[in-house]
Amino acid sequence: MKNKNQYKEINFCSLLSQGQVYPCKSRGRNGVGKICKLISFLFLIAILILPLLFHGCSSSVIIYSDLNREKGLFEIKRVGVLPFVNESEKRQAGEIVTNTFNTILFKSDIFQIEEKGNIEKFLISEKVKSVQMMDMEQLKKLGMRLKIDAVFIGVVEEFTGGDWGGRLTTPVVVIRVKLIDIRSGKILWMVRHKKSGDDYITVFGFGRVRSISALTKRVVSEIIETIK
Amino acid sequence: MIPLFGFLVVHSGCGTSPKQYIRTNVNFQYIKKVAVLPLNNLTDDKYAGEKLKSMIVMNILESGVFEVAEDGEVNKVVVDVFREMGFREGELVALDIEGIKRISEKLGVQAIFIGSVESYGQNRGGGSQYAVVSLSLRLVESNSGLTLWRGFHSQKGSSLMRSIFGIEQKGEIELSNEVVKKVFATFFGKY
Repeated sequence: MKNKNQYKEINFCSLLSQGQVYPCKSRGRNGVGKICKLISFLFLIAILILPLLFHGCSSSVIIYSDLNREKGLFEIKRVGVLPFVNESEKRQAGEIVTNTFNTILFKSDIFQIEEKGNIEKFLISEKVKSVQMMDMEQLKKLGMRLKIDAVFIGVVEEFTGGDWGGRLTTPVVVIRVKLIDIRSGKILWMVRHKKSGDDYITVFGFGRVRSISALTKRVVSEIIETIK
Repeated sequence: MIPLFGFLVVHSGCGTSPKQYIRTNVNFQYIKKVAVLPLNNLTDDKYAGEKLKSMIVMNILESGVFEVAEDGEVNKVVVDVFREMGFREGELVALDIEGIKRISEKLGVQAIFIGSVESYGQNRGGGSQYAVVSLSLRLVESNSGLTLWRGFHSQKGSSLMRSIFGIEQKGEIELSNEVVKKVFATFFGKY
């Protein structure tokens, strides 16, 4: 029996070595044994690495930044965060993301931030129906009245999943934000970021983010990191 | 085995290339600032136009070729001009040279991008579901209304390689970024 197994191995390796008979396990003079081991090793590495290469592929962050060049010229010190526009199916998504954005931006200490209430008071007094319809004249008025240099305008494109009514689904958050210099009207920085709860899985399913609020905090933090 | 693998590799990269038209004998250097008008949304996704528009603005800014008029300003001016021309909200409007001139004057731009999103969402085919994004875009000169450049591209999120290896298909967001980049590659010359 032992000889039969050895015969099979020799047969396989002899195909590789073009007719020369050298068992795989022996230290063949032509290195066939080493080739077999190398191929097996590479195959094993490929199986282990391939899933890792595609891990996190559902996320995407697209950034445009002119901050480094413009900062020196315009010196952005005080900013305002306009209420995020909600394009998702979840009704309060805009408010949730606005609050999270304000909090994390405040913690980052990059800019001084105008109070949310003052921004909202201005929008009501100017009868602004949608922040996406604000022209430069209104933005300049906002800047003069609240003494801010730039304003964040954002949109929540998607806000789904998490734990709603006992049903657990993978949360997905997609946000796009831009920073506009009020004096020049130029877009200084712009980001579109998409993440799902599965994007944070490391190995064996650990790291998955299950709650939409935890995911929102992570996404907003990652967005704000791109400003620095 | 190698010819089959080679076939798969080649086929996975195959797809339609962007279609483009560019007017010859035009000096684009006089165009400093452009506006991107709200896209005509021919899809079922209510916000597809806005999503693609933001990608277009980002790509133009990244290229550094033109300045871009701010979105809010563009939206307000478009509404104001249409109102002046007697159109009501929600009415389908064909933008003529007069409208283009008025909008460009108010925004201080030398050319405007006009386009439509023809597909944005999930399609079914061959027993599977995949995302598809199609964008048509043109650059129109403000004074004459001449089309200086025109591009079109459509891309789907599935491919043979992805199906075989069970790799997650591309979603609408990733696709829209690729479609916009490829459309602009025909204009800005990068790929």
